[in-house]
Amino acid sequence: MNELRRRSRLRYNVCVTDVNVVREFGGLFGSHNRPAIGRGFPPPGGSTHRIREPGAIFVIFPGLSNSKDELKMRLLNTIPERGLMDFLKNSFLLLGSAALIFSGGCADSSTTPGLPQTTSTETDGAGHSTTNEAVQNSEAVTASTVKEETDVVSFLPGPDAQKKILEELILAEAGTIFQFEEGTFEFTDGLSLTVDNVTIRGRGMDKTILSFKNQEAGAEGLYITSDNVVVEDIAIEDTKGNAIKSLKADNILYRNVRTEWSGGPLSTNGAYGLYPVSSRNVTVDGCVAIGASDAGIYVGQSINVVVKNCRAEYNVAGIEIENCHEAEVFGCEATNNTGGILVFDLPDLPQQNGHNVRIYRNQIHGNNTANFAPEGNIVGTVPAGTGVQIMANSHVEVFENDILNHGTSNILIVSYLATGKDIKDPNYYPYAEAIHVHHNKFSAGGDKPDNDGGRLMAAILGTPLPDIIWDGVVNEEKRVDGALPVEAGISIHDNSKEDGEVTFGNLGGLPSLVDPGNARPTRDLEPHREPLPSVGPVE
Amino acid sequence: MSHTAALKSEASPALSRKRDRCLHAGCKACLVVLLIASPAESAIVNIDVEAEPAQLLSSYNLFRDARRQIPNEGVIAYDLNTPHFADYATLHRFVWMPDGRSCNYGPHGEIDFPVGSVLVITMGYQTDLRDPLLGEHIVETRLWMRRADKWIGAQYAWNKETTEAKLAVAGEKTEVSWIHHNGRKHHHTFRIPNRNQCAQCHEIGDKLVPLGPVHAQYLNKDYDYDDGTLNQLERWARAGYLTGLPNDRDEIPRMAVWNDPSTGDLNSRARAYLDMNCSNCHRKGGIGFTSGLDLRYDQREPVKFGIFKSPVAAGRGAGNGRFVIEPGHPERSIMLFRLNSTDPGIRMPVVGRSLAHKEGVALITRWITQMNYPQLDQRQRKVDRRSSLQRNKTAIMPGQGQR
Repeated sequence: MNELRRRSRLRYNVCVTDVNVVREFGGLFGSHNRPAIGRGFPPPGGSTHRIREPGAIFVIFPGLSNSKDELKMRLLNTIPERGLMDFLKNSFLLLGSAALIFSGGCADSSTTPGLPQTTSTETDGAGHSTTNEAVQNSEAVTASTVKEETDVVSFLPGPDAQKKILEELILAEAGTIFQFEEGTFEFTDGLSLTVDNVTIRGRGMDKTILSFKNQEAGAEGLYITSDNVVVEDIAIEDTKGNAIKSLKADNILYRNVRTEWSGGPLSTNGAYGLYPVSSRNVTVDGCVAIGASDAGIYVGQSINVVVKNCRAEYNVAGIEIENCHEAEVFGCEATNNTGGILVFDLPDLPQQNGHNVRIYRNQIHGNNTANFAPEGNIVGTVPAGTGVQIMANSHVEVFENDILNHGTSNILIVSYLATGKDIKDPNYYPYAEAIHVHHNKFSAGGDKPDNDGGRLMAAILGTPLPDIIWDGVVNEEKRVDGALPVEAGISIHDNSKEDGEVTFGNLGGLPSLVDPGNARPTRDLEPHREPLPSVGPVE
Repeated sequence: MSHTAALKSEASPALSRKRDRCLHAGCKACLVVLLIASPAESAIVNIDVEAEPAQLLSSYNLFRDARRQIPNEGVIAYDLNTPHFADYATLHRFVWMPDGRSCNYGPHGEIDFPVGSVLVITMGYQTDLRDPLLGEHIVETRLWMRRADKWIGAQYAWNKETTEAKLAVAGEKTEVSWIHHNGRKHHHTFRIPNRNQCAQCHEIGDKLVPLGPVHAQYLNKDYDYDDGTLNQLERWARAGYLTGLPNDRDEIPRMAVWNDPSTGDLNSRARAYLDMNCSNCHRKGGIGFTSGLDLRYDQREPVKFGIFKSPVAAGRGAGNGRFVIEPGHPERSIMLFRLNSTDPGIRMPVVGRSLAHKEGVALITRWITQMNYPQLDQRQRKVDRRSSLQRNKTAIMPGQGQR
């Protein structure tokens, strides 16, 4: 092992930053000639990717201007080379750690010119290389001062790569960065990670590809069960099961990751692309998910979830938030799935009662791919041509999305009772409540209702189906003098349509579902115009 | 080294028979093997569980003869009522404890292992499953070591000659073959799981735990030792490895043996099989609990152990089944679909098996076929009638609804 692993003594990933970065550290302000230092893992949801090296010490050098060149100059002028070394030494003594990373939020995270840094890469000729991003002339800071180090272990594709990668991941130490170099890595076995504070990094989602076409073992391509992990700039292709699953993995960040089944939408594809479950603080940023036979991006039973700037296509469900508390999906594109974005809650699970979910500023269009999920799956019930479907959650806000061109419905709001499934869980709450739909843009659709559910709705409401469909199933116990408070129902206002008026249909509640022949649907939106308060952002 | 000493050591019945044959054939061959396999006659078992696992298994001196899995002094062979399925490998289990340490028998039959304990499990492939005397290809030995704060595991891969086993952190693949019960020759790539895969089965909460021997119900059975047949717990107690056994031995719980009808009815045997093979993940705190499925033997609530339970995130693992178990319909039950599959994206358990266990599948099939839950059945039928009513109505009048 030790011969294989050559550690970098120090890694100075120096980059200047701006005021916005500092703000996200919540009070770690330094003055322009005294940088602040901090350590840890910033909360998800921020915009400063580059400072998320887990477990690292961050040196924040706030500038007063957004001009990066000016900030660089200021940094260099304030801490000359000699002074920098002293400063680093003091930092080690102060914080008892050597993992020191200068970081910032600027796009060019490369070295600041003029600062001492060299990068050298050695390869042992067997698919394994080590990167040494060390300050060569920094003998003042040596291993003796250093209690723990940030490893950068890099991998090259090759016949021996699998065994080495498996072994390195298993024996990883906290703080390690695994750098997968450009190329296609072939695996027959699933990878797994159980160590905290680790980064798995490629050279770009189209450049570093982990292919599991010939997978023989492992239910996932990559399986993560540790906290503070970053997976970024990498692609996982053609796994037999899920592409990446993370279970009870808090503070996980997926960034610029692509998961794909290259044969197109097939029921033999794995279930999920990105599959974080039972975790706190999940961020999925800039990822692409293609071809999953269940959901491209699926976050289940988690708390504090942000999915942003992602693209999901040719999955059964593009993006699915299931049994989650405090979640948001924004800036994403969901197209050519069976259903674009789903917000579900299911019974018989350790965490249920999904609530406080925001779906906003997404492009959700043309999700008309025939449902190819295996029959028993809950997403197998989603009709092709569904833009957004909300089931059995409460306090869901859907706003400022473009939801266009869907054969069944742009937005479908249902209780679990509409699935026709029996509920045996006494703790389960099956109703969709406080659903707030506003300022979305629609286009005409509803002309091709799909599956039993779609045909049932068509039988009750006629075709084309309206833009927004609600099953009308409510908790009768919540009525006050016969009237339903808006918190127990739905609120719909200020939506618009390219080519006409926004249409709405209420299927008429449980009696209509049980006996569609005598259904009493309504198309009147008037009772639902009262706005609900906004759902707050994920902290 | 005398034969008496060899005979005193603990070994499985098959192995002691083998040794008998060895004795009949004359002493020399046996003696030579023993001497080769144990370089120092006086070597005693020596394991510091707090240290990192050794690179070479031989440094622990666990075996007098590894090829025939004859353990060293103080290492006791044992067995489980209902072991887990490991691709038709033969499993040899042993326990060792440092001097003066012993397990304690807990109020519900929990076996609490003292710090320093080591559990050993060796996987081997018999040349012919019908005749253990024809020899065995020893493939892997796994150790469980009880540290002060936790259990840790280590896996060792044996060389072809069974003279040394090396630590195999990343797992390994070994080609094996054997003649099956039905006389057919089988070839198989046996996979030594990697360290993280071990954790997938053995992690409950944040801790690693061994599967069977931590509960008396799996150990409570007779074993054919060299000096006669004895209850295993009794044997452990006599060796000083176990204290606190109830005076009334009938109080000790006993798990049914999955393939022995004399030990329990079909239900207990099927539940024992699921408890051993599935419940370490499918229980509260286990990695398979995200689906809410709980396959522990003691789980009595039908939907919790799968009856009419809908799948959650099974993906194509659900096949076309609607429920984990549909009573009376093994062919529609997801549990059987996954037990039967060898596809890595479908099969259950996800690690530790890549072949289907035909005999285990047959047991679960019989169990589901004979299963009877009239009330739940009736309820589900009602729900189904309602949905099919919907379907029929919609089929009759497509697109003729109110506008």
